[in-house]
Amino acid sequence: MLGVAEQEARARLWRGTLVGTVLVTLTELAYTFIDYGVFKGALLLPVARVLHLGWALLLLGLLLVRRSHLSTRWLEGCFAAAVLPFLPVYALAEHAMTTSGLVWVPMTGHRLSMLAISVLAPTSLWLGGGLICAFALEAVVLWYGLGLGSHPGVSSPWEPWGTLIYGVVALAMLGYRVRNHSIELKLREARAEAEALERLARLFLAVRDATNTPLQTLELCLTLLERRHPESAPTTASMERALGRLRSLTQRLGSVDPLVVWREGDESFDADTLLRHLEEDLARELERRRR
Amino acid sequence: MPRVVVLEDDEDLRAILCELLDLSGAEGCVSAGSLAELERKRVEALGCGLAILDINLGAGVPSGLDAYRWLRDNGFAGRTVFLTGHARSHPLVREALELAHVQVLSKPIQSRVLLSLLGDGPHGTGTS
Repeated sequence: MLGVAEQEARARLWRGTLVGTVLVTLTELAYTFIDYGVFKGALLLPVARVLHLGWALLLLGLLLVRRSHLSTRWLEGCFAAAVLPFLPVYALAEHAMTTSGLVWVPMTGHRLSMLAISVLAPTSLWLGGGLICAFALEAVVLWYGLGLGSHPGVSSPWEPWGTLIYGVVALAMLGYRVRNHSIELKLREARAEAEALERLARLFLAVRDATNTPLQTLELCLTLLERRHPESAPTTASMERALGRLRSLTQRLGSVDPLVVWREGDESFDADTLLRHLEEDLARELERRRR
Repeated sequence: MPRVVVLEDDEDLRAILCELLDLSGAEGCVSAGSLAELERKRVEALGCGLAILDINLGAGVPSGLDAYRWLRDNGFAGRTVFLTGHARSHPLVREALELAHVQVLSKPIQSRVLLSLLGDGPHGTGTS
């Protein structure tokens, strides 16, 4: 059973994965037509794009249909599965450009992908960092492997360092996101704990307030009994001791008094109303957990 | 021993309080469950020497503090003691604690403390 904070974190992860997969779908859809137009007659790259597009659509379907059932690990897997096919697609694209006779700026896809990963990846440094490093590494391998530095169609004097700088910036952005997320989670947990404690304190006080008047009645009744029936002293002494224990218990419940923050309108609630509201809150929480 | 006016919304406690006060030598006991009832018993109430007022008389109705102001505005000359089952942090209790020349006692008070109010106890501000 997930708590509210875990549910929110999972929902955020789902949104990031969904947006990432939609972007992959749109990118591959656009580049299928672009590559088909650029590499007339050569279908390998457009077919690779279409396969990636189909795979991304499958992942989108899975994300939408199994929205509330996918675990964190599954969502992280979906994100990686949507992004990783770019590696062979980019390799094919860079290779195709070297034989096209066109002038181009290499590694554009790698740079955009690294920045997109830094913004959309699940807030796990290992997954996001691993993906960014994979794209940076492939850019370096392709640069030297395809001899792009001396290729007449390439005019990027600072490569592959420019792409690596993008990778470092993407890693820094991801690290910043992860750190912010971690601080936010801690604050959320501290707030949830403080709210839970205050609710408990309110419950204690409500029980104590609801008990005090009946206790007072019993206390006075006991005094009347002692006066009217002095022969019942042993019985009234037992009652007195029991009453003392109840009194001590209600005093202990009152020790939470400093934890309660009174808000406008609270003073008009009586203990019964407060207890009813607390019971309703508890019933809602039970219902949420059953779901 | 003074006459006592008791304002308490719990019927059982109100009845038993008056019974005990009568038995302990109070000249009489005027009981009311709300400010409206107190106003109806205006003459008897204002003639008392001691007022024991519950602070919270229920949700959405005038409180014991409203009753205190009514008594004071109408020339009540006796002592006032507030009884409360609420925490010290409760806004109404905090307001009562800031009043001069009243006592605020937390329920449940022991019978001897209650009965000592009938004697010549201190008239200043105090809590218990």
